[in-house]
Amino acid sequence: MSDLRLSGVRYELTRTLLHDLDLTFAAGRMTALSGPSGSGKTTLLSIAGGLLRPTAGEATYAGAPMWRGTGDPRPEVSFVLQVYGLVPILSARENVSVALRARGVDPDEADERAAQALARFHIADLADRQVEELSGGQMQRVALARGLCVEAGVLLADEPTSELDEGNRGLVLAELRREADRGAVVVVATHDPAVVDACDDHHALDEGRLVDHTEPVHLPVTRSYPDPGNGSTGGSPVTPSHDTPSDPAPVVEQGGAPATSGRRDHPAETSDPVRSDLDQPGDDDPYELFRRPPGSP
Amino acid sequence: MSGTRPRLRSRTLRGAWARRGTLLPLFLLTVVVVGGVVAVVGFAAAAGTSRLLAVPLLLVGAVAVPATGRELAAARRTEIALARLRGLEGGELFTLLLVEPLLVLLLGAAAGTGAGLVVADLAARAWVGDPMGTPGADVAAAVAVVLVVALVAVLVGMAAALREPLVAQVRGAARPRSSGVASVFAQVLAVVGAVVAVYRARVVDGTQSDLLVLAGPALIGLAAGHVALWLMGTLARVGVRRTGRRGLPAYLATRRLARSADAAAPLRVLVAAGVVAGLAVTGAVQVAAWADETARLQAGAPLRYDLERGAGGDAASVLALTERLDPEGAWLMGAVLVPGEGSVPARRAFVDVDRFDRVVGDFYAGTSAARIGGLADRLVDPASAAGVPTPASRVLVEVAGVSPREEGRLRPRVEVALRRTSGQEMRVRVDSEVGLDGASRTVSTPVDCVEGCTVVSITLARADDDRALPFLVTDLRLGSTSVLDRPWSPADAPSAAGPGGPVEVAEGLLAPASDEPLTAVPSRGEGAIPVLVTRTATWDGDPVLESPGGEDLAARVLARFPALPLVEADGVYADLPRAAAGAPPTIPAAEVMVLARDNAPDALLAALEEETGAQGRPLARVTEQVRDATGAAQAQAYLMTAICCLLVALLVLVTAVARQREAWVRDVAALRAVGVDRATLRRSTVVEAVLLLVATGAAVVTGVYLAVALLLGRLGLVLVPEHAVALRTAVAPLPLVLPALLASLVVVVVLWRGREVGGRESAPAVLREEAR
Repeated sequence: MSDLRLSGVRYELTRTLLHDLDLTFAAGRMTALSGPSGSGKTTLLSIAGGLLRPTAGEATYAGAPMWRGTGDPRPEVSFVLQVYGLVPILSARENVSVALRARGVDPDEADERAAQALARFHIADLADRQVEELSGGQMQRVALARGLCVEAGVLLADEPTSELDEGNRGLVLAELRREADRGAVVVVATHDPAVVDACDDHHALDEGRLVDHTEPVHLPVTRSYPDPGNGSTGGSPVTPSHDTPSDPAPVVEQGGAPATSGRRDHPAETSDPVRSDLDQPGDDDPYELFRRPPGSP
Repeated sequence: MSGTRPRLRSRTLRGAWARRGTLLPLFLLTVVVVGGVVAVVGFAAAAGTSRLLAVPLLLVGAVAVPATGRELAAARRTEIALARLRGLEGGELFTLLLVEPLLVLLLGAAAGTGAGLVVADLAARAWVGDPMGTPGADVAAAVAVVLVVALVAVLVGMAAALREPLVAQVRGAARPRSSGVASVFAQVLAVVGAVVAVYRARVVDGTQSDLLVLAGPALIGLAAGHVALWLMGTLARVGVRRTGRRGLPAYLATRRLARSADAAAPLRVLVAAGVVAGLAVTGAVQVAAWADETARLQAGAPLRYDLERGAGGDAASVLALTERLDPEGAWLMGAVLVPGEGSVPARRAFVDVDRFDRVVGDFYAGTSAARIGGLADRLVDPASAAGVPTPASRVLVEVAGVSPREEGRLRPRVEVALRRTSGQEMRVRVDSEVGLDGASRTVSTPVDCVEGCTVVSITLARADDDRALPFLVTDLRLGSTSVLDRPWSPADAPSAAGPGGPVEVAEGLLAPASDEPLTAVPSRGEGAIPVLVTRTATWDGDPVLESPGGEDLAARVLARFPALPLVEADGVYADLPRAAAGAPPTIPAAEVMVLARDNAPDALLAALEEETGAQGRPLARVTEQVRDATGAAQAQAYLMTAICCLLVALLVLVTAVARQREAWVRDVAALRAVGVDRATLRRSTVVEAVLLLVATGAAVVTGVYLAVALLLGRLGLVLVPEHAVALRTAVAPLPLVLPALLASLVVVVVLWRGREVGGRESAPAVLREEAR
């Protein structure tokens, strides 16, 4: 798998939305893009995925430019859009399956894989529902199932947890981790510090520029989350609800020591014996599981 | 309060302007429906047609407007929710909602009334030759009816939005809802209405416009549209599974059809309009054909001059007149119509058949009397000619022996008994002598038959001293008429004593060997005047032709026709010279006329007009008179209604597709975002368009077929006069297929235009939150 590279990417409309960004999104890693609303996260994802043509510079993957001249993404790219982008005439399963069929997968196999993908997000029972009958959270999980099931080389997710409760957020992060572990480039635009924290790398944007960012500080939590690998739970089991209002996030941002935008090597993935308490894997860290490769203890 | 009202007005106007995209279709619909209704009602005042012809337009409009009402309510969902949160409900809420559409309806009604009056005036000038005149109270009443119907329709459309739970309404985007009870009821009502209209058409006499029957075509169209869409939805749902195995285009197209049936609802209006149009075109074509045929039958020839009494106005005079002005018989033809009442045979027409071919030509081609051209000659066949009085000044006889002989004299004596037209009888004897070789000899003698005579009998004898040798009469002419063309029979029955009379042989009349004079008389029944009759003509006993003067003449029916010139569907048609010869003076009720060829020389026609004082009536004038007298302009008024229905349907369809365009663009963008290419999406649109095209076309064809077969004859588009040919209504291929093609074309063009989005417009990037 290759890295996704952005070289000198600038994007201008009536004003400059992105300022000469040089970024590399590494294959096999989850990268968070954070920043305030309007900072250019979605625009950056769109350019990275070939939906928008940069005014200057280019985005490349495996040596080829992402912009194909039409605004259509390359087949190796999969999006999870902030507005879901589901097709109302199709059921939940068909929305997932159509992405597979568009990539040449046999219809029967596409339907089967679509059903499996929905099951991964615990919405298998909604497979035949029209998407307009689903709640926001359910639609978001259908969009995630569609984005993830194609096993793309590049997965770009824009606010993939904005409508989800805590349990489902953990589920989604675990699935994104799987994609990264498969070797895909996973880029997540998010406002959610917990999601940022769950990622391997982090870039913060403000007014189209890469900026330093503040470290999220975890508040102690007592819950644990289902292991998406085998469905078992650790600690007190909490079954994620399909459509419940989001609970207060378990993390809050605080002013703290600035950290340079870039690679964040999590202690679980390094041999650094010195780790902050906040990063210690254990019951107090709800995202610990998602930093580990599936199957690891 | 004084400050509140201007604020309210200002807010209403601002709101209306903000929702102009939704209100514009309502405005245009109102203009078209009001314009159409006013045009039909205004035209009715000028042409005497039925005002009820606007009913289909009202019905189609009433079906189309609620969709706009729904859209309007959907566009104001948030406003409605806020108003309900503030405590407004019931009448207050309705009032708040109705101000805006009412304003639009009033503006549309004003514009539509103006447009309708202009159209009515133009139509009246073009079709009946008179201006419309001042609009009356009926126009105002029609506008009021349309406004009330439209307002109620808008209310019905809004009702669903007002019944929506407040909790759902404040949520923002409306969730898809299945068809409500009212909607299903309306669809069932349309089907039931169509059935009732067909039943009603069976029981009304069809001479007057009936409200329900007139609404029938639109109801049949709506029902056909319902059934077609239901079938299409069902088939698409079934096809969803099957197309799952096929390519993406069919897969996406069948899913769209299966799951967005409401989006195809405007097709119902289009099908209804197509059916009304198909029926109107069929009606207009067939009424025009009927009017043309009726006019041709009434006119008798391309140009008709009706003569007054005293200006050549009887049978003999008109024959003499045409003989004098046109001795060649190439341009003019005398004719008499006796519009006798009481029985079909009493209604009779006579024309100078000798001139028929040259003057009339193929004037009746394509009419019920088309076959007359091939039969006219038989009206003057020699057999009958010999049986009618013939003016003559000489009798000519040709005699011959049956073979050469060796000796003896043969002096045949031919005695012809004649009856003058006055009834006086006389006898003429012609003596001759045949030589030994038996060769024929011709002898003639003067006869006083200026007024015309008929041959009563022929007696063949020999000079007193001659041997009783047989001989032949090979020719016998009274004037120019060959008497032997008529069949003759022996006066007495053959017996052992003798043959009983001359025997008819191929060469003529044979006088067998006999010492007694042998007399031949006309064969019984063969001398009757040949006539053509309509299928309605019957007699008790042998056919009888009343002459122009009222005298009964033996008649022989040559053929029966659905209709004949001048008498139309009821009557008898015969040769004028033969029927008039010797007849009493033409009865006063008779219409005496000169019929002229269409390209007759102007000088000849001028001479005719000068001599008779009559003015020629060309076919176009007769057609116009027929149309005026029978209200045939109703078919054109109905066509006007159909055009407005099509406009309404076009508006509804364009509006619906335009409304769906934003959602379509987002669908395309979403599908492109997951890797479906534009070519696949275009193909899916093609598949969808083809399926809609087939469904629409099939529904329109079925609807037009049913409407024409079951309703057209009962719409009362013309008042068929007594004796006129019936209005034949039948499914015609072109009006059957044309509206279906038009409706299908409209579907394809509108769908294609609505779905044709540029690559940039539908790029997945439009789904970004920032792009919304």
